[in-house]
Formats: sequence, C-alpha cells, structure tokens
Amino acid sequence: MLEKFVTFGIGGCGCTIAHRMVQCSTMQAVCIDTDATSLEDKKELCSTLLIGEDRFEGYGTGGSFESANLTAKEIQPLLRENLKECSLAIIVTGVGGGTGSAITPALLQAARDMSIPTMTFIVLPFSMEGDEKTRIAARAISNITSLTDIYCVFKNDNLCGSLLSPSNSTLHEAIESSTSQIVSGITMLWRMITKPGYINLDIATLIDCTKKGHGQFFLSSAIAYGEGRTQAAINELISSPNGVETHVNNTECALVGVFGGLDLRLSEISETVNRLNFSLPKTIPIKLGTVIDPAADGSLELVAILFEHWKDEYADSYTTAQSMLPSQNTNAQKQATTHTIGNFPISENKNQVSPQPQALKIPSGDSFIYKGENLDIPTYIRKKISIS
Amino acid sequence: MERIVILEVGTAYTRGMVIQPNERGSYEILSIHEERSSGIKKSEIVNLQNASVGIRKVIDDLSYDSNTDIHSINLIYSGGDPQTEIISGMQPINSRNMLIEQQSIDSACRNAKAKELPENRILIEDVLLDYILDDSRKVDNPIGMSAKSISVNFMRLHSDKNRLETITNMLTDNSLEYEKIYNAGLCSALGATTPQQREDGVLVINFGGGCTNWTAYVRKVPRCIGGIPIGGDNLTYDILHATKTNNETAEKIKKQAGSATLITEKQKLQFQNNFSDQTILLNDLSRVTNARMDETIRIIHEHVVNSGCINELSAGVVICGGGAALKNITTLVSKIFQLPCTIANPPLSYPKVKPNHSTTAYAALLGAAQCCTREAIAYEASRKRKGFFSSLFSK
Repeated sequence: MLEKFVTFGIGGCGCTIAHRMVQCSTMQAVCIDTDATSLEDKKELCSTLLIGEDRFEGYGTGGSFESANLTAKEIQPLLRENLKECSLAIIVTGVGGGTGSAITPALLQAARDMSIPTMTFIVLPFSMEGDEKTRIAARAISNITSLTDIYCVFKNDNLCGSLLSPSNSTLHEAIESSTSQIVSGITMLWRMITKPGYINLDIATLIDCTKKGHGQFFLSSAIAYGEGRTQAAINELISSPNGVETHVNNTECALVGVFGGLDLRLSEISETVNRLNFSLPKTIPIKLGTVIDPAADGSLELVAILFEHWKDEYADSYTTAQSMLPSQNTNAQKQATTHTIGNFPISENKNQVSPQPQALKIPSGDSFIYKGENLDIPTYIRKKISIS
Repeated sequence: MERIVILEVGTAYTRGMVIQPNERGSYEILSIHEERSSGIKKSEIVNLQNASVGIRKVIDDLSYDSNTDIHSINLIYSGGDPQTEIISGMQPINSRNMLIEQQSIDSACRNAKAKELPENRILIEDVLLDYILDDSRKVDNPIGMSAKSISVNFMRLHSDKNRLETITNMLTDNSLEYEKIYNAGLCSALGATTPQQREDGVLVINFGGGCTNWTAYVRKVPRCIGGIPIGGDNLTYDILHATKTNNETAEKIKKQAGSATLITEKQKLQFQNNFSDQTILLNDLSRVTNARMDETIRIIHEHVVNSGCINELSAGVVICGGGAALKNITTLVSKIFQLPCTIANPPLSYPKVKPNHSTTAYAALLGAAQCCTREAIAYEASRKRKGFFSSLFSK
C-alpha cells in the first residue's frame, strides 16, 4: 500500500521541502511548480509537474496570486490524474506567493472530490516579507484549511527565532534552518509509519488521524545521541520553542512515535510516556508507536503530533449510547478517564466498561425527533431490521 | 434588464447561476457553477468559515465566467425549519355598484399580511392561494366582479430567524447583499414541473443531502409545503453504520448499490475498508436503504394526506435532487403514494451542461430563475409606468 502514499510539494518552498524529504527517505514525491529551472534540479528524485507553461513561460509566477489562480482552474484534470490511486496525499506548500497559494486549494479540491484524505503542511512567509505576502497568505490559508482534513502550520518567524537559527544568523542560514526543521519533522513521521515496529503506527493510523483529527495539528520532533539521550530528547520534544508544552492547551489527542536502534530500551519508552503523561492533561489520550531500525543504533528520535480537535467515533458513540440508557453507572463514567496506549484503552476507573465498537452514534447537530423517535438513528436499528 | 444572480446553499452542494432576463418573460443562462459544500449540515451552517469559502468560490467563478460584478444575490435556502400557516384578510366592498377594483384587493391582502409572525420567525413568502367573494365563491381573478366582500387567503411560509440570519450575515461578511430568499421546496417544484402538471395537480419531492422538501400544487397553487431535516446524508450514515466503514466508502456504496426497494438476490458487494476488502450482501444493504427511504416517504405521504390534497394529484409525483439518483426510488414512491412517479429532468439550455446530462439537481435554481424573471418584469413595468407619469407631470 505504500505506493499509494504520495507527497506533493507545491511552489518553490513546497518543492524544496518535498525534494529534501525524498533525499533523506524513501518517500515518493510529486513537485508541482511553474518554474522549469527549479523543477529541473528535482527531476532525478521526484516526479515533476510543470504547470502554466503558456502563461509563465517556464518562470515563476512573480508572486502573482491572480495569475496562478487562473492556472489552477485550467489544471484540475492534470491534478486529478496525479492523485489517481493515491490513498493519502501529504501536501507541503509555502503560502504568500503565487503557486503555493493558488494551486494548493485546487489540489485539495481535487483530492476532496476523489475522496482522498489529505494532510497539509503549510509554511508561512517571514513577516518581514511585507503586507502583500501576508494578505495573500491569509487568503490562501483560509482556502486551504477549509479543504484539507488536517493541517500543520510552520511559521518561518518562529523557526527563525528558535535555537537553531539565532538572531545573528544569515538569511540563507535562517531559511536553511527552517527548512531542515520541517523536513526532519515530516521525515521522522514518515519513517515512523513505514518502518516496522513493535507498537505499530502505520499508514492506516495516519489515514485514521485525518478522519478523527479535525483541523490543525502541531508537529514536534527531537533527536539525541549517546549517554543521556533519553532526557535530552524528551526535554527537546517537550520544552523546545515548538515543543509539546507550547500546545498543551490546544490539544485533544497526541500521537507519539519513538524511533531507535536495537539498543532502544523499554525504560526509554516508558520514561517518554510518563513524561508526556505528566506534561499533558490526563484527559488527552496518547497513542504510541515505536520503530526499531538497526541503522539508528545510538540515537533516540521522538516525534509528537498533537491534534487540536479529535473526535473518536467509538468513544463518542459510547458516550451517546450510554446517555440514552438508564443512569446506573453515570457517575462512575463521569469520573473515569481513559488513556490509550497503542490500541488498548486503559481505564483509570476499574468499573468502567471499555468502549464497544457496535455502540450507536448519533450524528452531531440537532436530532430530529418525529413521533417520539429520533430519526437520526439509523432506521434499520430503530425498526429492529436484522442484517446478517 | 439587470442580470440576476441566484445562489442555492445546500448541504451537499452550493450552486449558483447568473441569468439575463428579457421582456418576453424568458431568460438566458450566462453561467452556472457548483461547489461541494463544506461547513453545512442538515442545511444549517455549522462552520461559518468553511461555508463561506464554498460560497465565495461559486460567486468568484460565476463572476469570472459571466463577466459580471456580483454584489447582490437571490438566495435559495432549504434549512431554517420552514413552517407554513394559512392567513386570511377580508375587505368589504363599499362602492355603490359593488364592483371589485384593485384597491379593494390590495386592502384585503394588506389585512391578511398584517398578522404578526410567531416569535423568532422570519417571513420567507406569502403565497397567494385564493380569492373568495362573499365568503363562498372562489375565483381566480376578482377584478370587475360584483360582491359585498372579498377575502384573500395566503399560505405564509416562515423560517427560524436566527438560523436564517446566520446565513444572511455570512453573505454580508462576504460583501454580498441578498435581494430575496426563496424556499428550496417551492423553487424545486416550480423548476421540476410544467405549468400543465401544476394545473393538473402534482407533488414534487426534492431529496437533498441534508433535508427533504416537498410541495404539492393543485390548480397551479401550492397547497402543501413541507420539509424534514432527513436526507441523503442520513442514508449514507445508515450504510456507514451497517458496514462499519468510513463516510467516503459508505457514500460510494450508496451510489453504486443503494436501492430504495428490497432486493432479493444474495449477490455480494465488495468494498474496501481501511485497506482490507470486505463484503456486504446486496439484500442486506437494501434492507438498510429501504428502511430509511420507506420511512421518509411515508412521513411525506402522511403530511400530504393531512393537507387534504392527496386525491387531487392527477399528474402524480415528480422527484428531484440528489436522492433522485437512488435506484428504484420511483418504484417505492409510486407504491406508497399509489400514484405514477417520474424523475424531473427540466430543460436547461447552457453549453456546459451536456444534453444527455441529468438536470434534476438544478430544479431549484431553474425554479428560482422563473420567479426572479417574473419579478424583474413586474419591476421593470412599474418603473416604466412611474417614468411615464413623471414625464407627463414634468411637461
């Protein structure tokens, strides 16, 4: 199924990041741009898609959102062609210019029409790049976030101010540093789902996340080597400027990956989980995955995806179904808090029943009650029509 | 005459149309666009930002395509818990010869419309039903007739104020004014049927994504208007629940194999569920879909029977909207109503819509286009009259 998982780099920024990701992983990427010269460099490792050739003559859009938008309307069939047989589209784009801002919503629309889940990484321009870019970026973000399933925003300003790029660094170093941070976060996530592990996170997990994790997510990653690597990696993951602690108040679910070599110790995994449990409120479920790669001996890599909104159908349906039953265990349920490790729900309250997949879920919104019946509950359930 | 923009905000799709009406009472379609809706459930806005993007996209495309600056629109809306009530107004005829003039009719209409709306409701439309002379004689056009009094009956269609204001405020935020709001059920009925069908008596059911609306016309007048927040999304959810799959797969199963009637064959349908292949028996699937559709149609049947016009629907039932694509839907409707049932395919003359393409989804837009054209002509006529009189006085 791996061949169905495709990364799309859009525009100068998106293509650069996608190309770098391919360089350090086995990812498949499609680079989409109007700039033929830029694409030429990436041809060796990535599929390339030169667009708007008659309008831009193989050059960049010059930041013209309007012109790129016209191209976006013309290339829908081409985008659909590239999305064919794709099970999950990971899209990396920089907004504020022409191509990224205009083509990304078009690609997302095509993916949505084809029912392909999407995960979008958006890079915002430096604020010093001017109001016009900020205005275009704001418009693009509004379009992108309404069309993608989940998205992560990287602010160049924040990355520039982080430890990796101190204020006296050159422009080249700052851009290089922000690109590296984004690339390392995404490739770490990629390795986490493609390499075999004992507690598995796979592409299905990621697709599941696009369905349950509505809206924004935050990506934090850390790597440390040698003695004391556990503490160093955990500290970086939790307390760095883009770390877990900065998003604690905006998180409803966390997906954490631990990546190590054959020397990865059980105590390192449990310490990571314990520290995260300590840093995050107890109501936030943590889903854990581990990956063992002999080539990673001596290092410990951690990646955390924090979902701003999370809707677990089974948990919700369980709650709703319970609320319709006589209130025998209501208080016990209210006090209970569930943590999830891997696929196993761990209840702090021993009286609590684990969520049942076959429980009934009522769609959100006002229920329609007609003659005492809630018509939002499937009719075949209410009428007790059996299916085999 | 000025160009008219019509926007239909539905649960599954947001559709828009720009038309150029002419004085002959017809119109030319300059542009049609549609976009998958987002942020709308059961025809109600649940995410302003997402819904706004879809609307903006349609408006931008229409504007670009028809080369029209769009600042105001006519809105078709199926949500807002539409309800109807009959309102009446009476006016005694005081003239010596008891002849009815336009002035008396206007007074009777004003008296009827003076009735206050229920709290937190907003008026969508007062649909003229009857003129009654001397409390006994129903007439089509009372002008020039003789009577002691004239009464007028309207069917008042009103909607939830807050829900409607959500959508109108969103339009304002997008620098759009709305000229008029049209009910989706009424517009669909107008767009999906011919004047002859409405004269003969016809029920039009619009199966939408979030809501199902219906309107029964008898002798050209709508006699029964209704709607329930149950639609194609509920059917998808029922399938999702039965197959334990995701929404996209359930939607595909619905389109591929959903049937309104029961299927006896035990053929298996294969579908992919998170990368593993699964199957469901077609007769099992049909039990799920038939149960939902049967229930929905029986609710409509009950409403139409209670309105007293079930025996006056000589032209049968016409169905439209996305749900019209469900297999065997006409058979089920026909069975429950004991009336012939057809799927609407209104004529749509626009180059981008191929002649063999089903136009049933555009019924509401086409119906609203008829209403808007009629009103534009009336407005133009009144403007010309005013112009004529003012030019007389200026001389």
